[in-house]
Amino acid sequence: MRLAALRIFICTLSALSLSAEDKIYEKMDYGPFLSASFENARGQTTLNGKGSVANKGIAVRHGAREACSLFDTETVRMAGGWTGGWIRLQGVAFDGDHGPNPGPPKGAKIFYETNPGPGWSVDGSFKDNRVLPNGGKGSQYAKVPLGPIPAAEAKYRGLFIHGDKVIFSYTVGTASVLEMGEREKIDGQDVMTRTFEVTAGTLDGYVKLADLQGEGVVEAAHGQAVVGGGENLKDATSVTVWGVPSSGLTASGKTLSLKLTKVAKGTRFKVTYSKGGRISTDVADLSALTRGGPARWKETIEVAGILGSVEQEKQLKKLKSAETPDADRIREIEAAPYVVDTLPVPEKNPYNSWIRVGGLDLFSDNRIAFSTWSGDVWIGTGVDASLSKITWKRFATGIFHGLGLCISKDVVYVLGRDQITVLRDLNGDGEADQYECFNNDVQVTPNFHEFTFDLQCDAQGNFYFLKGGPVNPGGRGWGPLSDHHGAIFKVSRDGSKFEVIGTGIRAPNGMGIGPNGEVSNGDNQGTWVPVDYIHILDKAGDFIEVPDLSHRDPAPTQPGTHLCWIPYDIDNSNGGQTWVTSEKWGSLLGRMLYLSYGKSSLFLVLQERVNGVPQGGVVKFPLRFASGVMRGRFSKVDGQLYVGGLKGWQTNAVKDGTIQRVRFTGKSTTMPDSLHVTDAGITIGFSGPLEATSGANLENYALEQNNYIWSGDYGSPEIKPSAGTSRAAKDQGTEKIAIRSVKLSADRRTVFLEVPGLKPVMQSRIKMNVKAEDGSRVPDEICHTINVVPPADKPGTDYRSLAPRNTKTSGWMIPAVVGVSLASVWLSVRRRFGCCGCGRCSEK
Amino acid sequence: MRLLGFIGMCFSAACAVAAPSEPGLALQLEAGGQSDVRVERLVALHVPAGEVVSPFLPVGPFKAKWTGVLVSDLRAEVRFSAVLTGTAKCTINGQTVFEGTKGSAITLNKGENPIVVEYTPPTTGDATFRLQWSARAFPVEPVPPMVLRHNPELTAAGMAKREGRRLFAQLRCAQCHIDAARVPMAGQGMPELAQDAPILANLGERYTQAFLLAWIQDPHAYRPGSLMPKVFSGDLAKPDSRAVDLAAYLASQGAPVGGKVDATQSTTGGALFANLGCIACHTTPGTAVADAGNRVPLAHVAAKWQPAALIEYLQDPAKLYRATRMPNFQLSAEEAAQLSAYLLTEAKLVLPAAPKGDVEKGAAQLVAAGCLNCHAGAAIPGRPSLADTLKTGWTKGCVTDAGVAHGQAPDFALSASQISALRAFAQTDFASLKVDVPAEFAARQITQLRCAACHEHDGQPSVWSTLDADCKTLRAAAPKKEVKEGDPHPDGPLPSLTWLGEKLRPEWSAAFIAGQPMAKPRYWLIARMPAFAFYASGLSTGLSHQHGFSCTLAKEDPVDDELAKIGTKLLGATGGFNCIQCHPLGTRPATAPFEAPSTNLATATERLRPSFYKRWMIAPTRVTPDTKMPKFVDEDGQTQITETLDGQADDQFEAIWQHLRTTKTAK
Repeated sequence: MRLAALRIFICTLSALSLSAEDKIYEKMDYGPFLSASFENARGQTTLNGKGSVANKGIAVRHGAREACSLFDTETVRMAGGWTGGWIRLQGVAFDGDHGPNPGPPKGAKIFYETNPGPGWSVDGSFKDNRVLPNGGKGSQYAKVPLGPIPAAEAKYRGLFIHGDKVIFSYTVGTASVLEMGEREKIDGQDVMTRTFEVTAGTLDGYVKLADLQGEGVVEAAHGQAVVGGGENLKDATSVTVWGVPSSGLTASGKTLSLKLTKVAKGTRFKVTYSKGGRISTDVADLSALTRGGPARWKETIEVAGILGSVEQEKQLKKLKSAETPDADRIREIEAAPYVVDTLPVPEKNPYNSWIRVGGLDLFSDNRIAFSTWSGDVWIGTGVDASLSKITWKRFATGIFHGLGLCISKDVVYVLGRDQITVLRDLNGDGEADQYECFNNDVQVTPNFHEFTFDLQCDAQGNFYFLKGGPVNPGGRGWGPLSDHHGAIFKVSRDGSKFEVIGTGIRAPNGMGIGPNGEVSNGDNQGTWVPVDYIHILDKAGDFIEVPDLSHRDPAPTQPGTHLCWIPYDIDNSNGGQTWVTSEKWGSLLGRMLYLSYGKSSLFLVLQERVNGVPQGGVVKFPLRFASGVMRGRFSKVDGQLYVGGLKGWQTNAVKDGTIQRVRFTGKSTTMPDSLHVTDAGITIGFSGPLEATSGANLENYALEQNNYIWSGDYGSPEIKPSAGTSRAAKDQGTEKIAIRSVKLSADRRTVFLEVPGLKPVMQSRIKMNVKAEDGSRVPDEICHTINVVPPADKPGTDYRSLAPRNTKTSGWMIPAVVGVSLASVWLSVRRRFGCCGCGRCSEK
Repeated sequence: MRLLGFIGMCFSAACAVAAPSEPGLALQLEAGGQSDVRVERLVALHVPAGEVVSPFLPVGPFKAKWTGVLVSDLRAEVRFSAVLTGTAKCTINGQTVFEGTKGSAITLNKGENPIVVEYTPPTTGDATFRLQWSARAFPVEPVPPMVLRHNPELTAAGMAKREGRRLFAQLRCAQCHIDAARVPMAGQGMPELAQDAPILANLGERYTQAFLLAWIQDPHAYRPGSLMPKVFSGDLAKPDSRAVDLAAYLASQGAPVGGKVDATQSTTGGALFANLGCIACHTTPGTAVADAGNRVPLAHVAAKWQPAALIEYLQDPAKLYRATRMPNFQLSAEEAAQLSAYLLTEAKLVLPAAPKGDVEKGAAQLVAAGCLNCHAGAAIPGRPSLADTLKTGWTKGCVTDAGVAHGQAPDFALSASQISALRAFAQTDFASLKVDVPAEFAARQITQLRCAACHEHDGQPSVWSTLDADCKTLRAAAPKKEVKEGDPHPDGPLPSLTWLGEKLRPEWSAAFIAGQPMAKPRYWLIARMPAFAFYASGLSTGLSHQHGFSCTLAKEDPVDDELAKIGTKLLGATGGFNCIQCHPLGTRPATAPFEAPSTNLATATERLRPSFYKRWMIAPTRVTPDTKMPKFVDEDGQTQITETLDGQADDQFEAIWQHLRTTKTAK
């Protein structure tokens, strides 16, 4: 026992030594507002509480974090206003806490709260016309309505910022309305205010002003209501209406509202919430604030990039000065076909912004934009060959976890958990003034883990993104479900149409859209996900992997057919997929790349189609990145690959945020770039010729296989293929598969491993120890999945996706060019091997 | 026997062509003109000066030679090195890869590569040897046991006499067959000789008479592998009157303590049975059939125990039997009651009521039947001396061949291989009983104590991990508890035993195995390491020696304050590896462990050998292939934190170690 007591003392010391280090999230200047899910002051959420709870809240900061107006975009309602601080910064993106969301800070003085549900009502009933998740059926679904209220009632359109002011824009029926929540100092007292302006149409209906729940006196007379405050009206709030008839104040049931009748375009009115004596006030002109205000992030950050070639020189110098220089390693570095350049992110910035890169893309002039997990968007200029001077400017703030960003027609679209936002710089000062809501149909619950990930755009301009399941704190099982948990979404190019196009994904940090509209996703090991995988969506509505998130009844009893499974030691946490669209990036045009967040690595994906069924595997590039890379884009200017990522959850990443460029050096590359499985064996194509002796030596190849168990457990052990679904000790592990012979083609670019009788298997690992013609090493392992084993004379089709020329495809279902034809592959194999191509040369 | 030995040698001579099918290498040892052979899982040894390298060899200069094959998945370039005192030579495929103190590279063939390692210790001081290898894909590490194979025919003779020696000690042969010249005093020489048998005090308080009779009549029917022999003839249907009397006497000692079975706790106890790993060593109490995994059956527990006594026993199984193989889980009274409820509710075996019996005659049997020889350590004359038994070459009495009547001798239910092992041991001079080799003790007891029932070992998954379906059933039957983040969960992997001797500081592992009070290192698991107090120190020392490590660690230099300061930063989120995300640091909880809760870093320097810490940090998946610990180091020994200590992983990890040392020395 004494031992334990001692330890506590030790620990205190070490805790002290580290405690000052972090809390960057407290120091960060989030800009005029921050989007998040919010709890009320009682720590309740939308699932179990009333008042200022919001799934898609925007907390407007008043003064220096002195007060807050909270607007809920899905119900188009001002959810609350308080003084005594802005918001409590708690949750996964702040202190990493698994569960709580931000809410009013401790000791906040609440001026008003409005209960969840529509903020506007035609008849004053404020009836919530949303359908419950899954139609109210199923105990696993949340029992509260989620997502935006019907657009015909009211629809959030976005916001404008002007200095520290935030002006919300929405429609009510056919009327367009601007609203601004503020904390004003009037006659020395704090007053929370709401200013409205009708900018189009005629406004009719009721706007929710305050919740009358709980103790207090309600008095709606003399143009004023008194709400809350307990028996002696201590702390009661006086609600006063300015600019429209105060006779509209209506106390009905538990809601205080304001009835507005035929309010014409151009009308401005205001509601004040005060706790002191009588006040007088003006009604501001909101339209004037929607044209862009003064720049607020004037300080830019200049950084010098680090070219991989410079790093290589340093490394070579070190290697060459060693006592016994490693000749192989030196040659390898000198002959490297790809190097990693670093574009230092504005890690140190005057706004204390926490730069954890969640999405990135490039403009047509090679300016680069990235979003951060903490809600920023930054734009960098000077992205040229030398990277000698990159200038970063803060462009936007306040996004609800910016984990995806896409530039379409040189306009920035950023994905938050609540919506896709279009960022517009109205006055050309390099900062976004308008945060237009492009689409906010996706549902959100208060679960900490239901991240929305990535944002991709297809050739037609449609957008795609992913949402994970509401993983419980601790990692196993799920919280209450929405209709959108664990799904892939497509949003039409104009933002009007939102579709679920795939279901059953767990924690999918990244997807890809191919040049021909191929939709792919990765996923992260966990409940029902034995290991990470890459899936190519076959058709809209497909079920992918996790039955609990299939939104089907009955739930599927087997997973979708994946392109490949990826062993845990190769990738433990997925990133996105990027298709090579550049001819300046070696010989890999049309191939898919796969990023690993957990291993900070880049992989080439080998794909074939066997009667339409995709299968393939991954090969790691011998490159390392400083963060968990998870987004990749090819520049249309320099044709190189730009990757970005962060360190947020388990990873071997060491930098909070990174942007790096994978640059092709023009040197020859020899790596596996195609893979075909038949009942005779495995054919591996290489992008360059192999050194003959090593390439043709059977001893340099080995094959191991295993399956996984698809179950509700967290992940799966490796199971020997002969063992079925047994988890018995003897059945865990891999099985070595004998390779009967190896044949190297005449051009030394194709290896045939003779393995008669191959069967479908989830994981097949080809281990190699071969050298390229120039003596450099070739990536030594291919991890692939065999879904189908075609006969030797009918191999699958090599799959590349090349951008369609002059075609009018509409989505991923009609690929215009899917690699080369089956017959041509077979011809090329025959040409390379002569009669040995099928692996049955002994029979001929 | 001579003939058999000769045949064995012939086999040995022919071994070059026989299949190297078994794990580990054959270790041939020579000392004082004698030779010996055993299986060794690693190419490593540590023999402190003045100690024997084998219990069957004299003290003094020795030579060690490992032979077998090294299996490679494919053709691969590797480089060998060694840590040693003395000199060594290693050849693979006939090519020298280590000689004297210098190693070199070789391209291994795919598949089997014959390996021969010869080691000669220095003339004075400890003998220490560890063969290591490295490759582009992995840093310097001990050659793992998973890639070593040998031909078992080479080692059969050496292993048979070892098994005979173990049986001789653990079956307590010398308690009856006394031989002061051959057998040392308890506490000297072979540790197992000091094992006791349960104290027979007040059995009537705890056990039913029906069980006592059934057990005396045929212990192996209830507990296969019981060390207790069947002493009397007959069976339970027609019991020997001596057994009946003896049971009556034992049952008369103390009044039954009784106690109630709270059936409502049964399913909670069942979940504990699954979650604590009881199920890895015992079949479920409702199971009557024998188990291929040699799990101990429990079908009889309800027929055996007074409920209150079982609760007490579960809380301290070693109270009346110091050397019991049943470990101490340090159960709370509540847990013990829950487990007991489960066992007593589910165990369905009903035993016939014992005939009344004559208590006085039973008391006499206690002496006459030799019970007290083991159970009180009081040898009763009248049994043949050890020397006498050896005259028959151990072909009669207790070691009669299976199926042949035992006559008056006790029946230990020995298998044919156990009998031949005992006979092989009989051929030795018994001097091996007077010494011991800790590495061999650890090897024996890892098997005897079923360590691998819970822990992965040398690439073999644990028994427990294969009982997933049964565990789930038991858990599902228990009342549902809301699981919150941070609550311990049942299915995390337990640490592997493979590298234990290299990994843990011996004093820490001894304390841990002995169950001394300390914070639970893997606090996120429901499973808990139970205490094997009697065996702890020997296991800890033996495992160190197996891995070629001394139990005395070199004194570390004083803490480098400057490095320690850098280490603080490297532990953190900004500019560091963010170790604190998954690892607590003292009372500071991990910032976001989620699915990867990890050990408290404040305990690292007291738990781990510094050398292992480095190896782990550089290539964690080489130690634990499915670990969630990230690998931060590239093949050039660099990390991506280039701005600190020039990006050199080795220096950075040293800095972290120095910081962690300051947290320790702060006490």
